[in-house]
Amino acid sequence: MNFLSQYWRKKLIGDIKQQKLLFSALFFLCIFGVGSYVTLTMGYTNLYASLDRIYATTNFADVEINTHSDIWFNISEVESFVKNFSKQNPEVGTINFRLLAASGYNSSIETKDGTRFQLTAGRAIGIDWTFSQTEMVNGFIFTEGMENPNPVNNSILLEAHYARTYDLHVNDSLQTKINGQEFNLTIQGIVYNPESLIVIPSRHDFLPNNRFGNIYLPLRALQEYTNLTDLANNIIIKLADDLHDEARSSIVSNFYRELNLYTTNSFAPPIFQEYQVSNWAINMDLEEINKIAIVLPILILGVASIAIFITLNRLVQSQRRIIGIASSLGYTPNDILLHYTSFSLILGILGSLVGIILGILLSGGITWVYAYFMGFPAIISVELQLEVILSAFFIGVSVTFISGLIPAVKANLISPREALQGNITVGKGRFSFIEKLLRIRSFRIRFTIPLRNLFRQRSRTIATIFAISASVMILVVSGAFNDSINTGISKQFSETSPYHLTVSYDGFKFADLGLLDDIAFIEQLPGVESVDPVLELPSILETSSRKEEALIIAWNSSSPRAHNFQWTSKGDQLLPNSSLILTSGLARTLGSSTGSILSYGYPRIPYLNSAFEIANATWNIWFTFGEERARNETLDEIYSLITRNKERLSFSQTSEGVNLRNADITVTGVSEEIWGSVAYTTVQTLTESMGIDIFKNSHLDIDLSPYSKLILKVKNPNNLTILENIKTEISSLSEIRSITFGYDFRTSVNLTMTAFNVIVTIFIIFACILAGAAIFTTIHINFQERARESATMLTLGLSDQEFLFIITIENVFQTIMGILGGILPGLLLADWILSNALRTFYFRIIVTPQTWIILWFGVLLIVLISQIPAIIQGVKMDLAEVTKEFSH
Amino acid sequence: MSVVNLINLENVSKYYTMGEVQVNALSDLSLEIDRGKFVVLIGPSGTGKSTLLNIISAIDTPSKGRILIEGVDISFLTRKQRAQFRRHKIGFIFQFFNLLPTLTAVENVEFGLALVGVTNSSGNISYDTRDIHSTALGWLEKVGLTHRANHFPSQMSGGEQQRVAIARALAKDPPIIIADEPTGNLDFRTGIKVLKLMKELNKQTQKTFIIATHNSQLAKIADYVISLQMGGVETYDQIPKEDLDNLIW
Repeated sequence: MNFLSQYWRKKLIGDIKQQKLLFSALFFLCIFGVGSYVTLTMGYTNLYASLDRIYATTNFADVEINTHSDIWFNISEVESFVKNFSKQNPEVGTINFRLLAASGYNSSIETKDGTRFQLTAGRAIGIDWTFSQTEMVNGFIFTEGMENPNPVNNSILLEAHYARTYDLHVNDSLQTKINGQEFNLTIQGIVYNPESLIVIPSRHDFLPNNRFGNIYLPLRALQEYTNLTDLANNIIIKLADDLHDEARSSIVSNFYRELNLYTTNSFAPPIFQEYQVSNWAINMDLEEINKIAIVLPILILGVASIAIFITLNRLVQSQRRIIGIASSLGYTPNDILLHYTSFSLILGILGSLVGIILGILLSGGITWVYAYFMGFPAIISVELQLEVILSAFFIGVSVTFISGLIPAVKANLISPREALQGNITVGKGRFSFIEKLLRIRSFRIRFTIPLRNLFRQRSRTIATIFAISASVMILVVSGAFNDSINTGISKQFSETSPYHLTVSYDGFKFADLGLLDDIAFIEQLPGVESVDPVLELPSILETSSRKEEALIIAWNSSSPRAHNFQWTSKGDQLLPNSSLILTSGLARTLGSSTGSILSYGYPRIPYLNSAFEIANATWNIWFTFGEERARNETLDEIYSLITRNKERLSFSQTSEGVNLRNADITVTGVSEEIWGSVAYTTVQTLTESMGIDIFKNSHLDIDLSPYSKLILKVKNPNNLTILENIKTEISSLSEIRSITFGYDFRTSVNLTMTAFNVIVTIFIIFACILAGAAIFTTIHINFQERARESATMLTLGLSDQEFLFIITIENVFQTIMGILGGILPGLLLADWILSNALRTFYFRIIVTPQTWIILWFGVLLIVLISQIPAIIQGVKMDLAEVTKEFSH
Repeated sequence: MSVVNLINLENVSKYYTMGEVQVNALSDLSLEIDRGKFVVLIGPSGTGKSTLLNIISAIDTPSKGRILIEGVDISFLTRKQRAQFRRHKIGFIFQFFNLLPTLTAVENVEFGLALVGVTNSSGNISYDTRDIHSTALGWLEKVGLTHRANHFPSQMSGGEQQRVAIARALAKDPPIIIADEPTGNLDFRTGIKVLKLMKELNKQTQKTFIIATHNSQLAKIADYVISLQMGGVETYDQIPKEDLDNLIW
């Protein structure tokens, strides 16, 4: 079958050659649209494939079960239960028992001021090193060291992010604090682990933090360091492959139920792989890429389709005569229809093919970029996904074909008689809406012409404005991301939380058991301005319809010195007792505001309560020897109990691991901060809820309010020497796990945002190219259609500058309308993406004046640059020829 | 004191290169045109009528020779200077009228006036929109189109559009009016009316009208004829032989 007759074939090639600039721009838009779809969609799935390979290589646990915070299990006892269960349920693949303990490290880092020591927090994980790689759940990818290490008691594997941050290598030693004791451990390997592809200490300490050090050491060694011989507190399970969700869930819930029966409710609910904190954070990131993979191609292909429609429409108009002649000569309507649809089909097919190839190549790059910024092992998996390729081809060809079909059908409907009458109809003159509205009749002609041109072909003008708006939307999204995040972070650290040092305790430190002494000691250090003790606890906040995990930060005073609440309404107050302050992100997620009543689950720590019962008994025994003796003996007993059982006084890493009681609490204020799941209250409120205040309010008058951190402000934060001195002095105190500088924390936040900033940069480049291509196409067509008018004006003596002015004014008008039209949807889109993609953070949408100025001038500049080819064409026009062109 | 001709062409040639072939559009042409003449430029297609008009109106430049307008050589002006020259010295009337479709009749006339300004009551050049507007309306009155002042080209007949174009050409007071096939897109009766108007205005304003046409009958109404033939050029003064009412083509 002859697809196109020879004449139409030649004409098609001729048309493409004649319109090569326009064709190239449209071709580019198609490549761009299809390419971005393939790049992002395949990049998104490739990232998953890459992750799957990492997870498969390392036997990533399908589920993890932790004991409640103060309970350990005897491994041999639970092992026998597990064996029985596995016999009956062969789907349970491998089960490992581990011991997790909080730890801290003294590490040095090179700064511009020289070497600096940091006391950082981390987690020691005791594992059975006798396992082979296949038996080990949550195994390792080694970046340094032997894959089958032969451990001795003081050797460890160190997690790669921390090793990279502190430039630590195999055979280096790491000064480690576990359970209040110091150990000098030797690094035998640097490893990646599926639990910490993004290092997040816990779901409540949610900032990716490369300074948080995970170490892996022999189980027996850690048991020895923590005085927990034969005990463990963590079970990780790898199930048989290819189990469907229902079966997986059913086996795990049976296992958990029977395990808890066997161990008398010692275990917190299981954490499935998708909720494992690192995997959860990665998934949130990938979902964000997925959203962008949908929005961006829609915008680009939308603009491409408008541009193709306008171009082909114009082509048909300009070729009415040819169509008429061809019809008169006997060419069938199908020939004509086929010819004009061929134009868009060629664009669609070629653009989609090139876009798909480019997309496939770039999709691997996305995995690389993401892995690079997040510090993953560089396992790049590029899989050819047939469904993505086919859908990209289908979408690309359909969009271009449909855009070209309407003009082609129009061409087909032109009768030979009509067609032979004339060529171009570029819209009749009419008074513009603005002139009618303002009743202006004395505009200078050079303003009248561009103004009326805008209203001459309203659909064309709207299409152009839409194209500009689409580009502006992307620019606004990019600018809003950048500004909201930077302004939010900057405000958080400079105004809201202007602290300079945080000191974390190894578990709790109680007011009358050393905390007040610590504060007194720190306050007298030179350069210290203030010390605020805080208690941080994971919790669950609930409204009638929503439930959200949150980190509750409790201050010891209603007006903390290191925290300035950014109230969002006049009704908000200082932090009174028995009330809660929500951060605005959390308020939004919960749908709550000032005055709302929430139910909140707070942690119950059985060991703490039983320790206090023992202390109470001690008081009663010693009371007969006098009150003072009783008080001293009781204090000694509590102190002894607490120091001997440090591990028992820490919370699990997730709120699922915390045994909760529920109470109602009133929201008395909403503070605008960047944290998406933080709430504030007073220590008194929390301790009363936890039942710890019994001691404080009794005749013993011992304040046993627990604290987990000290937050310091110094007088001269820029003086690093003073900061270092303060840090050194504080590290000499007991039970200190880590000391962090404020700006280090800020660096961590900035690091987290790096990947986001890369996306923003790519967005801005996309938007500029898109705006340029779209504006170039419409301006070019406008100019081609009005070539005779332009030639007439130039012939009558209009100078090149005046001509340029008239064209520019029209384009500037359209650009202004386009910018105005793109701002609101851009802000809404930015808000949607930010609030959906970054659930752990909340950023109020802010666009700074500088960004607005750059946006306006940038887009105007793109317009001015894009009109250059049309202007050059105008200047080179053969005035004599063009003024003679026939017009209908 | 010697009297300078309005237009002097001295050995003007124009070549075009089409592919590898050189086409001679005009060859060694010399002629003089006085002020106030009603010149008809006739000749079959391809003899160089349009080329000659383009060169006189500085739309194009000659390959060889000199063109003097009011004694000033315009042969090798820059693009900017040529635009300035056309702005002040040439009024154009096109075959397809070429009114700007987004402007009304009066605004089309104003467009020409806005380029050069108008002489106001105190004798100064004014670019005031009110002065320009009233002058443009005056010209529309002269071509009998006051009632169409606020109509757009699409709302007017071909004859009316051409009359607006004539008003636009004359309003800015140029010494030369160039009209390339001004009746080519009009029916016979309308064409006659347009020619009559041009003749009248030629008499009233003493502007030099140069009309290019392939219709040799129009030569009868000219007082100076330039006849371009394949073999060369023939020019002659004459007293117009025909009254326009008797003209037939």
